[in-house]
Amino acid sequence: MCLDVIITLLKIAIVFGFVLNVAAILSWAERKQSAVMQDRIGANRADVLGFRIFGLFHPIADTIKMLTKEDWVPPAGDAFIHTLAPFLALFTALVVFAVIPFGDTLHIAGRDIPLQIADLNVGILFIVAFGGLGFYSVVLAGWSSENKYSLLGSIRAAAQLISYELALGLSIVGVVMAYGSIELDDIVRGQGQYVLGVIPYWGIVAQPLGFILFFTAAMAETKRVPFDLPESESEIIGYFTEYSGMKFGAFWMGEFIEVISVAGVVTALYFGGWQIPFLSNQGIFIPGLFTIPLPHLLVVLLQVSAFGLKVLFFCWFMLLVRWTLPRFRYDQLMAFGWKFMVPLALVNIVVTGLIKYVF
Amino acid sequence: MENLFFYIAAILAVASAGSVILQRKVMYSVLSLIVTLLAVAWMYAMLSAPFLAVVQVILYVGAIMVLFLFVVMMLKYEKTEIQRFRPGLLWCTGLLVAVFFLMKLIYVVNRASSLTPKVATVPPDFGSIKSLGGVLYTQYLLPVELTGILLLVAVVGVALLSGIKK
Repeated sequence: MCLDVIITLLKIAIVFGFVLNVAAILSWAERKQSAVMQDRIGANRADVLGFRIFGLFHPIADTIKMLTKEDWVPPAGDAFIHTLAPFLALFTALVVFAVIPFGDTLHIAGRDIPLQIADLNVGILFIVAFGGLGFYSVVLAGWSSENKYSLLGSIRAAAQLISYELALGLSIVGVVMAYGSIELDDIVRGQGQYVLGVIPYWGIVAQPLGFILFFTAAMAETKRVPFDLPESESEIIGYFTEYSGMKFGAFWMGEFIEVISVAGVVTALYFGGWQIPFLSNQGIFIPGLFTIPLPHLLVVLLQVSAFGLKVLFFCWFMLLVRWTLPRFRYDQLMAFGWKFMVPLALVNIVVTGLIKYVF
Repeated sequence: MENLFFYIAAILAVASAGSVILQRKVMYSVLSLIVTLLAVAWMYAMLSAPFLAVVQVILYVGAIMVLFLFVVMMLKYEKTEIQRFRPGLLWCTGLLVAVFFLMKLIYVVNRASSLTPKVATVPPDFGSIKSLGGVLYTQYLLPVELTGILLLVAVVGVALLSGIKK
């Protein structure tokens, strides 16, 4: 009992430590990535005793700056809700990671430890439910600021999040049909099979269209370019106009944590989670040719780091997209969501059903 | 342990439900209602109905309350609004509703206290998506389909009302 609690706490510490640290590094990586893409030098000024290490001290410098800034609440606004909103933003972005499996079951000292914080039997639905609550942070932030521009931003965000949540949910249905389970654990395990003996049966193989739809909708949920209408720094500045100090920092961190969550969910659903092709529990395994046995701990370690690397890859990919594309116009955004994504997601479900029925 | 969690959820649900009607500001009423719905979802989860709990969060908190919030956000609440109601009429209706629900409550509590609790074993797949789906699409197929048609009519109605101007 006591040991179980300690193990669970340890898992929470590992996962949230990873997520929060990557979020901090992403805040630097985003600036550096934009600099590289725009042929500038980028964030490299913060130094400690003359050491710069590519500007990796910037996240620390930013945090100190934001913590020491004046925390200002608009006098006409609502102080309680104004304070509540950034916490909600952080909470909803972080809680998604509770159900994402980051490794296979670890057998150690006669114990089976599933490398997943909470193995809920509603799996994906939990992500949809609590990811959707992020809506409230945005809307409450805009409303409680008592500022027309903030309100405009949050109304845009509300319309956008509701529209794209539908496409998001429908594209997940395809994955659930393909692997016959709604638990993320089973879905990742299902991706360890092989098509024709050689191609790993990952989500991208089973659901190519579903992957594109999910990724697009999930990027819209993160409210980043090209879907950054709620923020639109060049027109309305967005729902957090009236935030300063660490409360603004919380929204900022929340955005990066959302990026990591999306990368984590995409990895788990479409890119095999912790699976490495041709690496099974027994070791490296080439079908029909040979097997190289590997110790269990090494296999688990490789799988966990594979999951981490995949997540980092998708974070980087989303930074690339963010600095490549321009912003949608509002009516384009709505039309794209309702008239393109949703019908396509429905078609994807029908096609998946037909394929499941035929084979 | 389970009792403790139940009482926390129950107190949270009742307190926030009270807060819904006691708050002066509309936005706080909406937020209290969200807390109530979340607390009820918590109870579903403890009654080994995780699917129902999550659907409660997705549908009520994630969709219906969003509409409430939208309306509150768009409308500026004016002090003069409340003066348009006739206070006597409000009191009368309130009293009638309160008496009705009190009688219902007494009836339910009376019935419940006369029953002896039965200890039933819960089947292992109780409340899972598979068992729920099985029941919905065999035993209750007709009501499910009829509800689907009802919702479709509502969607078409909204599309019509919002007006495709040509």
